[in-house]
Amino acid sequence: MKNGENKKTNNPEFWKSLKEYYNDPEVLKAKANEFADGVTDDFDPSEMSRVSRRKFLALLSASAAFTATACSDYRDKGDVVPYNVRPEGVLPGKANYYASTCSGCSQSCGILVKTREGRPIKIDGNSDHPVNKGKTCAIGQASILNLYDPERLQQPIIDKRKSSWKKADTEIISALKESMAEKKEIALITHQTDSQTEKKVLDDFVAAYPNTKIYTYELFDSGNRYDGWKKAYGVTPLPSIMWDKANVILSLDADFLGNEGNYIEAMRKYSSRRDAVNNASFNRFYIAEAGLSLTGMSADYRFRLSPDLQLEFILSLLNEIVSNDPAMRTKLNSAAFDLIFRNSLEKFAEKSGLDYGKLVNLVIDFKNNAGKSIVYAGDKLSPDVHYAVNLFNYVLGNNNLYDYKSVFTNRLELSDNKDLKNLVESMNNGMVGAVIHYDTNPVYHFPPELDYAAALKNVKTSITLSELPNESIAASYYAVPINHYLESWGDSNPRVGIYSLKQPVVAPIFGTRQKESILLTWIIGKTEAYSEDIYHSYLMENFKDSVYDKTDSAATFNHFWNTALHDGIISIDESARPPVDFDMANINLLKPSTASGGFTVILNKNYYLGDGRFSNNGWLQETPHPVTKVAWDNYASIAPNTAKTLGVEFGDFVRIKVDERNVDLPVVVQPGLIENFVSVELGYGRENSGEVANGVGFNVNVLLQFNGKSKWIINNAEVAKTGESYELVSTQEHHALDDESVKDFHKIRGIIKEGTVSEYKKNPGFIKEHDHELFGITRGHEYNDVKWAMSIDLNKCTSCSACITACNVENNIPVVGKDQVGRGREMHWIRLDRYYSGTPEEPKVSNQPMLCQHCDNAPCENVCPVNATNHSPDGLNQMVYNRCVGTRYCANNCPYKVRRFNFYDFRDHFADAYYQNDLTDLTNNPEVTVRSRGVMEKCTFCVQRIMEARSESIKDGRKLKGSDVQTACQQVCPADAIVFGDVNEEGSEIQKYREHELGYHVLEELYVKPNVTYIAKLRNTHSSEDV
Amino acid sequence: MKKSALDYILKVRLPITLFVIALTFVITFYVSRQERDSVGYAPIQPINYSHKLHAGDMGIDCEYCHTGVSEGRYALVPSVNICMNCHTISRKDRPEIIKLTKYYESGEPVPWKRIHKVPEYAYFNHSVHVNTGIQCETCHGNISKMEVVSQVRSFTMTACLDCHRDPEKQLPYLKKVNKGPENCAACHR
Amino acid sequence: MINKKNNRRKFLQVLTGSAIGIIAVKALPSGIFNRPKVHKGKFNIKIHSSAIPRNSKV
Repeated sequence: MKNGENKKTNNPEFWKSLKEYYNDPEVLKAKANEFADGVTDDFDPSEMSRVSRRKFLALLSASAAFTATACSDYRDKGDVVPYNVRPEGVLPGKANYYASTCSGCSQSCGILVKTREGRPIKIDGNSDHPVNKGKTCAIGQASILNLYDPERLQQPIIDKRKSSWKKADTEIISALKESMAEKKEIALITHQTDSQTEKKVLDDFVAAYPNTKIYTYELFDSGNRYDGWKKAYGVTPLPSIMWDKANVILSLDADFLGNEGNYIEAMRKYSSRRDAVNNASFNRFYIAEAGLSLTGMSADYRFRLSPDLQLEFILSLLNEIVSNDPAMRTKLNSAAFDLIFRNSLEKFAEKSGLDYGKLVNLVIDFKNNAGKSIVYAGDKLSPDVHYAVNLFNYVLGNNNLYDYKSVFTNRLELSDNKDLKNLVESMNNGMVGAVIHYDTNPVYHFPPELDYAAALKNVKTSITLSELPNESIAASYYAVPINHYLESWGDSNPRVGIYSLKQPVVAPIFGTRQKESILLTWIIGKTEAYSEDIYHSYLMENFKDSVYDKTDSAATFNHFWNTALHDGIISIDESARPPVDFDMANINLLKPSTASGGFTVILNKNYYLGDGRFSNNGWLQETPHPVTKVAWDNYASIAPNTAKTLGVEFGDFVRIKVDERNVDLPVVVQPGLIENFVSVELGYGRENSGEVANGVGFNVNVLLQFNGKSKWIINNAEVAKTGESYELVSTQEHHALDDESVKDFHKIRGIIKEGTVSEYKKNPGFIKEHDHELFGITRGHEYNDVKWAMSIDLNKCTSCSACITACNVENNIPVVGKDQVGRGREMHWIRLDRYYSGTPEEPKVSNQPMLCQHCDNAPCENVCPVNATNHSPDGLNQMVYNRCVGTRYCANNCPYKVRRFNFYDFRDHFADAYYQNDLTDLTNNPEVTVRSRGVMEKCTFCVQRIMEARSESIKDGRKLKGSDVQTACQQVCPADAIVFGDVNEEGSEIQKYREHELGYHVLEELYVKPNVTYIAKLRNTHSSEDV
Repeated sequence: MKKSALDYILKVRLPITLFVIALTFVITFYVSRQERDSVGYAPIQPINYSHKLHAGDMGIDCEYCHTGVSEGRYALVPSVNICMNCHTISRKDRPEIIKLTKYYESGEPVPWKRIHKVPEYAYFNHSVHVNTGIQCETCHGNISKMEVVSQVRSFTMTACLDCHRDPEKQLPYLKKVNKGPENCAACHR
Repeated sequence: MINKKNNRRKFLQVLTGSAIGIIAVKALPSGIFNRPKVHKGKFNIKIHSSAIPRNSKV
C-alpha cells in the first residue's frame, strides 16, 4: 500500500492542526521543508559579502598578529641606565671592598665585604686582622644570606599589627617612663658583647632609666672556663693559646678546631704544625671525649671518656707525672699533693676502660715536652675540670704557651642562674614594668624550669629587638626591627689592644634601625631624636675618647678615623697585666663526681646554626654536619652497641627523659661514642621563625637545666625506643663500617692513602711504592701557557665546611631542601667525604674534600652529545650551560661523581620558590651564570676569578701569574689546606705540592689524569705502634 | 606539438615556484638582518645627543665619557654629572640641554636606549680588548661621524670568532697581536 | 572558473596583507609604541656616604 494512499484514507495518530488531521496536501508538503515557502527567496549567496565567517576570522587574527608584531619593537635591546651622579669610587662592573667586622658569632673576626654596584655579594676575611688573618668560617660566609632574607622584619609591629617608628618609639618611651614612675623594674636582656661602645650605650640607658637591670646570657657560654680561670689566677684576663708552639696537645672534650672560641685562629696555628710539605715537626694530638666531634676526627689518639670522669682523668695524669718528678712536685703545696696522690693512673685505666699502654705513652709525651705542651678543656665541662687543667698546665710549665700578647677582653658579665630566677619571679609578681629583649630570644633559649613565656605574659610592656621573627617576637607586644650587621656601625674589641670597626656596606634596605640607635633614641626620650647618624656620631666620639687619645697619633681625628675604617683594624699596644701566681687554695673545691646510672646527655652547639640564630639560612641548614653528614635536622647520636641494646637504627625515634622533661629525637648511630651516651645539638625546632627554619629538626631546649655542674651535661637520663621512625637525610649514608663488601674500600681503591709520621720518616716514598706506570693511547692536550691545578693537604683539612659555604656564595649554588637532599641532589660543587676505618668502637676518621678534578683525560668530555663540556687550553674542564641539553651522560662517566644536575629550577622549587624573590636574587654573584632546569654544573676552578685576574694582568701589561688567582675555597680555608696555581710556572707553590712524595691522585689508575693532588694524611702515632 | 600537462608543469610552474622561493629567501635574509645580527639598528634616544658634534668636531676622547672601558667588563654610559661638567654653562638655553638639566636636577638618570648588546650568556670584557690596543672604531664603526648612533658591525659569535682567529687581518694597525681565546670558557663561563 | 577566481583573490589577499604587515613593521618609527622603561630598583640599595671602601685614598 502506498503511503500517500494511506494518508488519504487513514488519519495520523498525532497531529498538530486540523488541516493535518484531514491530510491537507499543502500542509503535508510544508512538513517536508524546513523553512516555509518563500522565506529564503531573498537569500542569494552570490550577492553576499565576499568575506565569509571563516575569512573574517582569518583576517581578524592575521591583522591582530601583525599589529602585535608592529607594536612591539623586537629589535629593542632595553635601556642602559647609568647613574645620575656616580658616587666617587664606584665603577659598575668592578667590585668594591669594605672592611668590617663579622657578627656571626661572638668572636668578631675582621672581614672584607665585596660589593658590586652597591650591594654586598661576598664576605671574605680581612688579612690585616691579627686574629683571623684573612679567613672566615662557614657561618661568616653564609651570613650574607641573612641580609637578603625576605622574611626580615621591615617595620615595627605593635600587637601583631604593622605600625610606624613614631608610634612605637612614643609608646615605648612613655611605657619606660611609666615603669620608672611606678618604681617597677625595667629588665634588659642581652647577649655578651665585646663592643665597648655598646656597653657604654647600655650604661647610658641605665643612667637614663635607673630602674633598669641588665641580664646577660648566652645559650653556650664560656662561663665555666672563666670560673675555673678566676679560681686559679684571680681576675687576670684569659689569654689565648699558642697552639703552634705546642708539641703535645691534650683536649678534654674541647672542640677547639670546630666550635669553641676562635677556631679559625686555632685551625691556622694547629695546622702549621701538621704541614708535611714544608717539613714542620708534627705535633701529637690526643683527645679525650665522649662524642665524636670535628676536632676528634683529626686527633692522633682518641680516648673515649665520659665527661664525669674527666676530672679524675686529669688528676691521674698529673699524679703519674709528679710522682716520678721531684722538680715538678715542688710546685704543688702539700694539700694539693695529697689530693692528687689519691688518683692512680692504673686504677683509672681499669675503671674507665682506656688502654693503659696508651695512657703511659701520653704521660711520657708530656714529660718529654713539659713547657711545650698544653691541656685544654672544653667549655661544657664544669669549672672544677678547668681548674684542674690550669693546675696541670702550671705544674708542667705549659703556661708559657699562654699568649699574653693576645688576651681576651672582658665582656659583659653573665647573669647568674639566681639572677634569672629572680627576674622571672619579679615578672610573675608584677614587679617588672618593661622587658626589653635586646637582640635575644629568651623564650626559645631559657631553660623550661623558668617558664619564661608565661612570665612574659605578666609584663605589660614586652619589647623584642630582632632582625627576623622568632619565638620572643611572637610573645612580645612590640616587635622592633633592627639592622643586619652589614648595615650597621659598630666597634669590637675581641682581644686587648685590637679594635676592629664595623661599617655599613649598604644603607638599611628596609625601614630598620640599628639596635644601639634605638636605645639611644629611648635614652634621649624623644622620637624626633633619631637620625640615621645618631650611633655613628656616638661611636666616633667614644672612639676618640677610648682609642684615639690613647695613641700618640700625629694625624687629625678625622684622618685617623677614616684610616681606621679603611683598614678595619686598629692595634694599640695595651700590654696586659703580667700573670700572677697560681692560687692553689681552691684545690679543696675539687670534688670528683660520682658515676651516674642511666644515660649521659651532652647538649652541643650546632656547627652552623649557632644557638639557632641562623636557622632561617638555607645554605647553613643544607651544609652537612661535619661528622654525621646529616643535613636539615638534628638527631640523637648513639654508639653502635648502645643502639643495638635499645633496638634502634638510623632514623628510629628515641625518647630522652630527664626528670619530668622529655623529647623525642631520631637516632644516628655514630661510631666512636662512649656507651650509654647521647649527643644532641640545639638550635632546631624553631617556631614562629622564618619559613626555612620552622619545623626543621626538634627543639631540645626543653632539656636545659640549671642544676648540676654544667648546663649542658645531663646525667641520669632515660632513653628508650618509641617505635616510630623518621626520615633523616644524610649526604653520606653509604659504606657503613659493618658492611664487609665495602669495608676499608677507600684504602683498597687508593682513595685515601695514609700513613704515620714515623713510617714516613723511615720510608719517604711509601705512598708511591705501589704505583705503576700508566700509559694512554690517545694524544693528550698540550699546555704551553698557564695550566691550573690544585692541591689539598689532607693533614690540615679538618672538615669545617668553610670551603663548601664559600663556594656556595661565590657560585650562586641553590638550596634544594630536605627532600631533594634525600635523593642525593644537593648542589654543592665541593663536598667533604668522610671515611671510617678501624672498628665501630674505635674508628679512625679520614676526611677528603672532593671537587671536580679537571682531568686532563676527562671521561666526561668525550661523551657529551652536544659538546657542552670540553677542555680549555689552560687546563680547565669547562662547562657551557647554554649548550647543555641534560643528557647526564657526563655525570654517569665521572668517576668522582662531582657533576651536579639541576633536576628542577631549584630557585623556584625549594619550598615554593622561597629563594626566588627579588630580594634574595640580589645576593647572586653577577659574574657567574645562574643555572636553570636541565643543565649540568660543576666546579669551574672559579673561572670567573681566573678571567678577572687575566683581565687585570692585561691591563697592567704583565703576564698572568698563578698566584694572582685565589679560588673561593682556597681563599677561605682557615687551615690553608688548599693550594691553587699554575704548574707551568717555575718555582710555584703548586709545583712543590704536585711533585711531593706524599702527593697522590684519587683513582689514578683510571688514567683520567686529574689535576687535584692530595697530600696523604700522616698520623703522628708512637713509632712503637708501627706495623 | 601539443603541450602536455607535464610540459606545462616543468616549463612554467616549476621555474616560477623556484623563483618565488629564492626571492622570498633573499628578501627575508636582507630584510631581517637587523634581527639576526642587529646591524643597522639606530633607535631614537631620549636626548638627541650627537656623537658627531662631541667626538667628531670637538674631538672629545671616547674614554672621557665611557670611563669603564679600560677598567672593567663594561664600557659604561656616562652619568648625568659628566655631561653637566660642561653643560651647566655651555649651551644651557638649548632645548635638549634643558631636557638634560631637568634630568640632572630631578635626580633621575637618563634612560638611554641600548644599541650594542652582546647576549648575557656571553661575558664580554671591554677592558681586555681595549688594553690590547684595539680601537673603538674597529667594532663600533666611525662613531665620530654619526649623528645618531647605529650598530655597524654584526655582533654574532661568528663575527667575534673571525677576529679572534685572524686578528691581523681585522686589526692592521697593531704591530703585534696574539690570537684571541677560542675556548668556550673565555666568554661562556 | 569560480574556483580559479577565488584562488587568485585569496592569493592577492595574502600577498597584500603580508606586504602591508612588513611595511608597517619596518616603517614605523621605533619610538611610537615604546616609552622609555626606567627600571626602578625595588629595594633601597644605596651606599652609605660615610663608609670608607678599600679603594678610597685615605
